[in-house]
Amino acid sequence: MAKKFRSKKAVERGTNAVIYIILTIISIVWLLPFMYLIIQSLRGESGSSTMYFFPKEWTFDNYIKLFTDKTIFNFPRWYGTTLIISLCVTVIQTMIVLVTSYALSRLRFKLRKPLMNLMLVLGMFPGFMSMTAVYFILKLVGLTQDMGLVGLIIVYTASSCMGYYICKGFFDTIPKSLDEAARIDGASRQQVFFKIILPLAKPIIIYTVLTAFMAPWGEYMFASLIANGSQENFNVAVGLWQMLQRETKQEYFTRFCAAAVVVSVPITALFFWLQKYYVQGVTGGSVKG
Amino acid sequence: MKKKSIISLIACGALALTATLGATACNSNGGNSITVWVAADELPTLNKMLDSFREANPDFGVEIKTGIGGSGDALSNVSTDPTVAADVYCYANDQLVDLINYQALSPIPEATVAKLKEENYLNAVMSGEHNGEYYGYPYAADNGYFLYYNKAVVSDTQAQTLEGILQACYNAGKYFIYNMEEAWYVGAFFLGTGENCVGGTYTIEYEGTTVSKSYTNFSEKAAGQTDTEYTIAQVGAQAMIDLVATYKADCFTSGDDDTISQYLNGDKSGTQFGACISGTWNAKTIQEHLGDNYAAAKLPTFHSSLTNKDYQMGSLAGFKLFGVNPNTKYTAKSHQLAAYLTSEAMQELRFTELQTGPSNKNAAEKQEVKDNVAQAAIAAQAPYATLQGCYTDSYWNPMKQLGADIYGEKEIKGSVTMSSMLAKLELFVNNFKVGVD
Repeated sequence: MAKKFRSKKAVERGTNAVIYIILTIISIVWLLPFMYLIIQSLRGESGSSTMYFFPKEWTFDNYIKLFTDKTIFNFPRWYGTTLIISLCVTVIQTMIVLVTSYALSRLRFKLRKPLMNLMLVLGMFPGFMSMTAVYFILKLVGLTQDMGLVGLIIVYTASSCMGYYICKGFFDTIPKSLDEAARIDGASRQQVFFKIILPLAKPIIIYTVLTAFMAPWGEYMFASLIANGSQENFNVAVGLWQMLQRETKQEYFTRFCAAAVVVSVPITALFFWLQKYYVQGVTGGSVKG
Repeated sequence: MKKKSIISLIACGALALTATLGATACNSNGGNSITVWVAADELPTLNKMLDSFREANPDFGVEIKTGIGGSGDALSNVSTDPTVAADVYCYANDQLVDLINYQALSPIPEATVAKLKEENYLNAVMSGEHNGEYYGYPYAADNGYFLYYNKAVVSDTQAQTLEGILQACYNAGKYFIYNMEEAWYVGAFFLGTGENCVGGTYTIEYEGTTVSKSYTNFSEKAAGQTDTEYTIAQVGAQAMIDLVATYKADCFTSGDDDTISQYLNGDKSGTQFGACISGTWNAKTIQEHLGDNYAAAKLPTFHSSLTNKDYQMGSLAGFKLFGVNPNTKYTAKSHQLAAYLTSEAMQELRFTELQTGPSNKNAAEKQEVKDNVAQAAIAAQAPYATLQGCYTDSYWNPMKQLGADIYGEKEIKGSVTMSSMLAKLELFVNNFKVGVD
């Protein structure tokens, strides 16, 4: 009769092997599109698509042309516009979120609960539905077309205070006695916020900055509504979509891939740099309600 | 108490908002300039045109701006908000009625219409007509499809028949690409009243800008039969079934421009491209890949196994026009500009730079246009082409469905005389009908 029991080590090895195989498959499935994008951006042959994965000819031309060839598409300009919008939104939104969270976490006032409830209810309304209405309001006050940049910044930051939940959760974990001690020493509310709370809240600031930066960076719907065909007002998403139209796709597809890689650079860099804070921020905020 | 405060808060907000709006509610309609939209790849050419326009009209007095909006997407671009869309924009004629419906096209003055008719092919001018009014300045007559082939694989004689092309591709191990899953191309097997065509027509009638009637004659007898009684729908569908059953995967594949690009790039052994059915927008790419072997011709004939007869494939053809937005501040000046952009000299420039097939008679008769391979092919296909009107989903849906089903071999195997297929074809013909029994 064969041995009935296998050693613990062997069993572990078996399950580990299975787990690793599954994980490898998942990660390949997940990474393949990114690999494809990068490889296509280095493809020397023209055309929108190939039957093979690795190009016959490798080149950096697509990247160089992306920034130098402005006969039709002005990618550097779109990139600049998007960067300006994103940076403005990041600054404004981070300020609003932090201030809102501080107020709702530390101050006690009559409308505190009703306000929080109101924001909860408003947050459930799908913002997508109000898009047309928002567009016509912007048009009415003249914030489309030439003033589109300002309009977009306002749209992206308009409801940012409603994203206070995680941030407020984090503030709640900072002991209130710290504030009280500072208050007794004669600090004003504002001084407490800047000198006591903010230094302790680095992870959540970084989390807020990251999310605030990412949303407008790749936004398409509003940007295309407001740009209205004029290339001066395109952001990268709208511009890149134009590259893939029937008339230009065959010639510009590889350049489109290069652009997609370039677009993902700032976000990737930000993430790598701020990664450890990011995890602290998300988990820290959810420890205690 | 709490409720009251919320309400007052909301009321305050609403008041503040209306106050701001009221104070600044001035019209931002386009500003003091004329905007022109064309497809992105046409921008450099448009700028040249505008330069010569400014030179010719030094006292025009209004600034001209450019933007991106291709003729194929005119409807979606303009309909978002016609009041801020470009003052002058290009569109494909199949979007005419919808654009009128959005009040995005202003009629052309009668005197200009007469001039347009004199200078352009009549079909091109008529493609911008609706209920007696004219809404477009035609500039391109090449919005259709035809055959491209690789001379190293398919000979000029083989390119005359579908069977010849497929046999040549099969022998050489190359592919014939035809988009059977896209309604626009599927019509090739049914439409066409020219010589040797199957004889299919599609009719669409309007009351104002709404469709009152649409129907086909696909249930009538196909042309050129003596002792058999097969309908147009049956002949067309059987030809598609034969094509799929005999050649799919071996040397025929259905796919869009991406597929064409894939087969052009081919694999390690070189290009896999034998032939394809596509339009002028792919001419440059195909020529680049095939070099001296680049060739184009009218669509081939196909052999019907039902009637034992060869039929010429039909096609849809359309025009591109410049239209003037009635929301513009400068109606007369916009019309002047649109007329200039579509004049003979500008159409010639457009051909030289972008290889657009002119709708202007003089420009189209130029030797260099006739020598252009793709333009010659589309001219050869013209007698068999059906002018594409403002077709609605009652045309696109059944066509797409049938093509996709046959290519996907869904419930369709064997022949159209099978009862399940006959029922399907009856449904196919009925689906085109709007407002008729």
